Amino acid sequence: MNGTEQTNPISLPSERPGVLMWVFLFTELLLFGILFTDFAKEKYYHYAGFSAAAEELNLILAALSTFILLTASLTTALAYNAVREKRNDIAFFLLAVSVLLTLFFAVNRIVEYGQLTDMGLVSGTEEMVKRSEGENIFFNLYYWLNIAHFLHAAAGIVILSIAAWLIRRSAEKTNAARLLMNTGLYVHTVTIIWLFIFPLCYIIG
Amino acid sequence: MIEKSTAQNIQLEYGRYILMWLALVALSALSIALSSFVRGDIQIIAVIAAAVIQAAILLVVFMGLRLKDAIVRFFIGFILLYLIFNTVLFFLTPAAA
Repeated sequence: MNGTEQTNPISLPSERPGVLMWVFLFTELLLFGILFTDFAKEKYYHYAGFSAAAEELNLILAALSTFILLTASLTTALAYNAVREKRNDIAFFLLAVSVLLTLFFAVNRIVEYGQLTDMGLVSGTEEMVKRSEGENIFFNLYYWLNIAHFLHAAAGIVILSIAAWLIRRSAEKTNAARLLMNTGLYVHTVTIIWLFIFPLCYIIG
Repeated sequence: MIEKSTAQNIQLEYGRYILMWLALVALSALSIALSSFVRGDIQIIAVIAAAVIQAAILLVVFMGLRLKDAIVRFFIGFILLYLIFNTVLFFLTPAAA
């Protein structure tokens, strides 16, 4: 079956996202931007502590997370293209893949936080008392950045799932199409934020 | 019914998305490789530059950001100023501590 033979095609009301969506994404970037600034400043003052703390992080898991999020962004973008072609079944499949990838990302993050917790690298533990001030600051900022991003990714899973469900049902056609466009913007923003967290914490740190 | 030219454009976009995804993965791999071979300020500049290029690819290709929109120009200008401020803060803050 080709795209033009699909039943209940979703028509796009507009190819442009609203200004409010951009404002929302801008505030998201601003929130993380403040944390990045703080990270950069503290790293300058505690260079040795930050370098020592970063050695404890799992670069392989973080690299895997990067790959997963980039692929989730790709499948979401492809899903939007599929909707434009009125191939709703393909769009649903691609969105389902995006949901699974983002879930995999969340599990991957939880595994890494678990490893750090097992090592006692959490604020208030005896292990952290033994560590330098720089290492303590690094891990505090690391958790702020990563948990804030994790919550955004979790919200992304919910939004992607709703978009997939609406497209599957083809109910509220116009709203589903607009939701998919805005969902894509949100998912890509979450990926962009991670693309800065990854080098800051795992490579430069 | 989809116009033929529109359908062809959409087909082209599938290929472009996959090509850009490969570029994004390659840039991430480059960042990781740099962490092994380069140290100091050069590493910081190279890795941040790779992240900025990746973000630009996502914004322009995946998010369809167009410079012609005034609001987008305003946001980009603000973000560029912020990045400059951050870079200055990162490299030039006197080490008081």
